[in-house]
Amino acid sequence: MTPLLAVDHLTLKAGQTTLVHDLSFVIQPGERLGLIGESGSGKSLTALASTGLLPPAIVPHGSARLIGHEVIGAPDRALNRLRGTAVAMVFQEPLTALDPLQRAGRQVAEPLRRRARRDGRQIHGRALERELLALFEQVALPEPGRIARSYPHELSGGQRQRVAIAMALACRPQLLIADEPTTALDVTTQAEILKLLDRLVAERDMALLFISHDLAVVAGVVSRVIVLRQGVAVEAGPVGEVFSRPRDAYTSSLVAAARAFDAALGGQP
Amino acid sequence: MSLISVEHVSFGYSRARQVLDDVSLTVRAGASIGLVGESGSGKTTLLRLLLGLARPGAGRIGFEGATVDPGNRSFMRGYRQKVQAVFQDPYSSLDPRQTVLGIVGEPLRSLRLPGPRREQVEAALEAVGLERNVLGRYPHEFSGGQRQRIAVARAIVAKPKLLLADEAVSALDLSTRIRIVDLFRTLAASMTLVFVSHDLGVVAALCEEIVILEHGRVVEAGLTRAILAAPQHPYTQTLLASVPRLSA
Repeated sequence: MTPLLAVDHLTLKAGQTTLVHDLSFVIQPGERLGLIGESGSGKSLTALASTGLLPPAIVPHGSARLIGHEVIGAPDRALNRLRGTAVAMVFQEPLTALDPLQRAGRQVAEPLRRRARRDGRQIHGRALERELLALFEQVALPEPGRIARSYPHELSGGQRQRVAIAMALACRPQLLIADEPTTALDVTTQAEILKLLDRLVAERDMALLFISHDLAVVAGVVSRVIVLRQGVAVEAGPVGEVFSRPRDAYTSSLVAAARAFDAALGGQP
Repeated sequence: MSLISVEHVSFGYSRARQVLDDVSLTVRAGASIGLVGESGSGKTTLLRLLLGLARPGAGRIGFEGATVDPGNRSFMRGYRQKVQAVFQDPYSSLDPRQTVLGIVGEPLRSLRLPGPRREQVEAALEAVGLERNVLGRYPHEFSGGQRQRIAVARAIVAKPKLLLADEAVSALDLSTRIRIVDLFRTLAASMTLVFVSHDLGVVAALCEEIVILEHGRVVEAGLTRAILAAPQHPYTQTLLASVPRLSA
């Protein structure tokens, strides 16, 4: 089976500085992988390299293949065919991911229409609106009609992130990349969004690349993790194993810190 | 004895909406107390009132028996020495054009406190675990955790009675965060600490007492251990259940 994403000896450099060093991993259809790391570990850059969205100052070496197609060095025209169908992204800050001048409905309708056209269907008007509202319902947005007519600034943080998730899902990607999708949200909203992502990924049989600095968040969402430190993968394995028996000293220190805060909260679930 | 008493305080930036609604709480001298709430709970507004940066619309804030009155300049001068703050972002809270000596010595200068400045700055740096040789260096030469240590040194250099921390570890990486929480815990042994945070785990690790705020109201307050073991208010229960755990 062709993996959805195969990153092979990926190295990212900005001038003389190596930001990601010799990173390799594979995501198979339906699989959930977590990339864990602190600031500057290269986790977001890895996601950007995998989708061909690296800033020009960062030079990639090695390979990243999306459903068999090489991303590194590929022209935008080739990548545009992969973006959306193969992969879609949800970013940390929904306020910057959404266009402030467009109503939420219009922003999500656009990828919905384009995806339909790619499938050989033309949808517009009422039919498009019906699909849009159905999608808003799937991401559990209250009053889909009102949200569709709202501008991003009129929505709460959680609602904005739901709109951003709807936008990614509109493309019906095989792989969803979520880069710190709950970091900017309140803890109760975070719990709702994590539950939503978990349900949607399962329902739509998507693969998930989940990027976060928060070990506990990652532990609840993925089955396999890679721990990055200053651009180097220091440990990888099934999430239960890595968090219960970390082999690397750095992973151990992260796990110990996370467990200390866990312990302070007591045994309550 | 109570160091701070917040008595039926209400506050709104506009008349239409109250940010704080009849908030009352007491901070005992020597206590470490966590103010926990999500965005819009009013925790930062409450902190601004405690700092004397704004005046309550109704109610009163007392400090050692006197009323905190931002308009009373002689009271505020003494108050500023006794109450110091550490903020969230160590990248924006330090003047990039001053050396560590200038930054940490600033409260001594602006409050016109007597005594040899350099020695007091060195003592503050030692208390936060920084070497003396950092005195001549600039903020950009330090990591996030070290910068937060500098901000803490600035807050304690004037020997305040009360340290107010506003999300002081939220911008830090996990491995740094745990060390700065340790630093606050050490400091809390010798002064009163009010620690504002959205992060229940951090507050649980640091504070003996906790006040939970929702939409500008205190929904639950008491000993941290008791509240975590048996949260009474539905919002506290939701909050506690929402915190992701590694061991889940």
